[in-house]
Amino acid sequence: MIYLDNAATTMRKPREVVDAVVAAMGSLGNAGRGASEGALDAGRVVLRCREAVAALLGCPRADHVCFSANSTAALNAALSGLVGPGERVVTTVLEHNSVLRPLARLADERGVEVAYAGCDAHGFLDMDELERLVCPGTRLVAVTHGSNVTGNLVDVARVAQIAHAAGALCLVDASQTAGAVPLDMAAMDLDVVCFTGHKGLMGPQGTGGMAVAEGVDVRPWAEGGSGVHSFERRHPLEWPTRLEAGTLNAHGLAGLLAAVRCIEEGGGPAAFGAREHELAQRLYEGVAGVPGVTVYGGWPVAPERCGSIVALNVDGLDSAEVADALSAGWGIACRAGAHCAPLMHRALGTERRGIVRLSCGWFNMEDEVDAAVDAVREIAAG
Amino acid sequence: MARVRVPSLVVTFPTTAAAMSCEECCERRGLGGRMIPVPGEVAAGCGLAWKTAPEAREELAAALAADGVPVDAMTVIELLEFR
Repeated sequence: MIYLDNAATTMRKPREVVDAVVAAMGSLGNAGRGASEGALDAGRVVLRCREAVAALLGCPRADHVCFSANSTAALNAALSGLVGPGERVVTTVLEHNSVLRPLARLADERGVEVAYAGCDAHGFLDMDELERLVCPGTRLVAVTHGSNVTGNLVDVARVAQIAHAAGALCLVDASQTAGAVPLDMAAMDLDVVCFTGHKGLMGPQGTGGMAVAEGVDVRPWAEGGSGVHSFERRHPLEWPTRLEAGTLNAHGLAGLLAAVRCIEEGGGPAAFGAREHELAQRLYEGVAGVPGVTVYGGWPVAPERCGSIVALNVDGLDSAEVADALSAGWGIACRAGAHCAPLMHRALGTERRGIVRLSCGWFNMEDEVDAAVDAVREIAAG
Repeated sequence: MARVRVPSLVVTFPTTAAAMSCEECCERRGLGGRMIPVPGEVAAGCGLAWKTAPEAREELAAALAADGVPVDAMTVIELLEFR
C-alpha cells in the first residue's frame, strides 16, 4: 500500500514508538494511583511526556499540558471551559467539526454568539474579515493552525495579536500541525493549543490534549477520580489535574513521549515538516496542469504557506470514485468526501462531490509520490 | 486501462459501526462485495458504503436484517471501474 492519508493519521510510526507502547503495556501501573513501583513508573512517564510536549509547543509550564484522548476531546473541553453564556466567539470557515460542533452546541445551550471569518479563492483565511469580526467583548478567537482539507496554514501569531487587541483569548487547533510545523506558544502569545498525538507527532491514537498559557482559566469539563483530595466534594482545580479526571492513557503517552523525542532528535518539527512539505510540493507539481485535474488550496500562489496536503478533484468524477479507484487500482490510500469540514467545502464549492485529499508523511518516499501522480494522470485521462 | 461505469448496488449505513458489521456479516456468509467511500451521488459528506452487484440485493438485505445490521439505504448507481 502507498499510504497518503497522513492527515487522517500517520499509519507508520517510528519503531521507538511501537517499542515504548509494548514495554509500557507490560510494566506500567496507574499514574497517580498509589505508590507501587508500577504506578510510580506510569507517573514518571506521564510527567516526562508532559515536559516533552511543553517543550515542543513552547508552553512555559509543563503542568499546564493536560492530556486527553484526542484533539476533539481537548477542543470540547477548552471551548466549554472558556466560553460562558451569551459570550461571543469568532472562528473561521477553515475549521473542522471538532471546533464547529462544540461551538454549535454552545450556541444552542448557552446562547453563545458565533461568527465565522471566510477565506479567499485559494482557501486562505481572510485575516481582514477576522479582524473586523473580533470586536471588544469577544471572549475567544478559535482558529486552526492548518486546514485539514487544503493544508493551508494560518498565521496564528497574527490571529493572537488581533484577539488580544480586542481583549479576547486565542485558541489554536493544532491537530494537523503539531510535530510538523513549529509552534511556540510563548513567542506567539497563544492562550490555548489543542493537539492530537497520532498525526504529525506520529504517536499512538488515543493521545492528545491541550497546552494552556498561565493565567488562562479553563474550567473543568469532567469530574471524577483524581488520585488526590478524595474527600473533597468537587474535582480539584490544580493544574493539570483539573482537566484530567480519571485514569490517564499512560501506555499511549509512553508512545507519545517516544514520538516527541524522535522528532526532537531528528531536528524538530521544522525538519519533519520541511520533508513532508517537499513531498507534497512534488505531488502538487506532478498533478498541477494535468488536463481534467483541479487542485485546491494555496499551492499555486503561496506554497510556503501550505502544509503536506494536496487536495484535488478530477473532472466528471466524484471524489469517492477517485479515491476508490486509487485504492482498488493502484493500492493508494487517501481520503475522499467532506473531511468533517463542511464550511471549508462550502467555501470551495465542493459540498456535493467532496475532495480527494492526498497527504504526505515522514515515511513517504519520492517514488510513492510519483506513483500517485501517475495514477491521478491515468484516472484523469480515463 | 479504460474507465467504464458499471451498475452497482450501494448500501449506506447510519454509523461506521454498522458498516463494519455489514462487512463482517458478508464475509461470514460468503456474500460478495467490498467497502467503498460513500459516493456523493448517494449522500454528501463522508463515510463508508458497501458495494456489490445489483442482483445481490435481496440476499444481502435478508442477511443484514437477520444479523440486525441497520441500513440507511440501498441504491443502484453507476460506479467507476477500470478495465
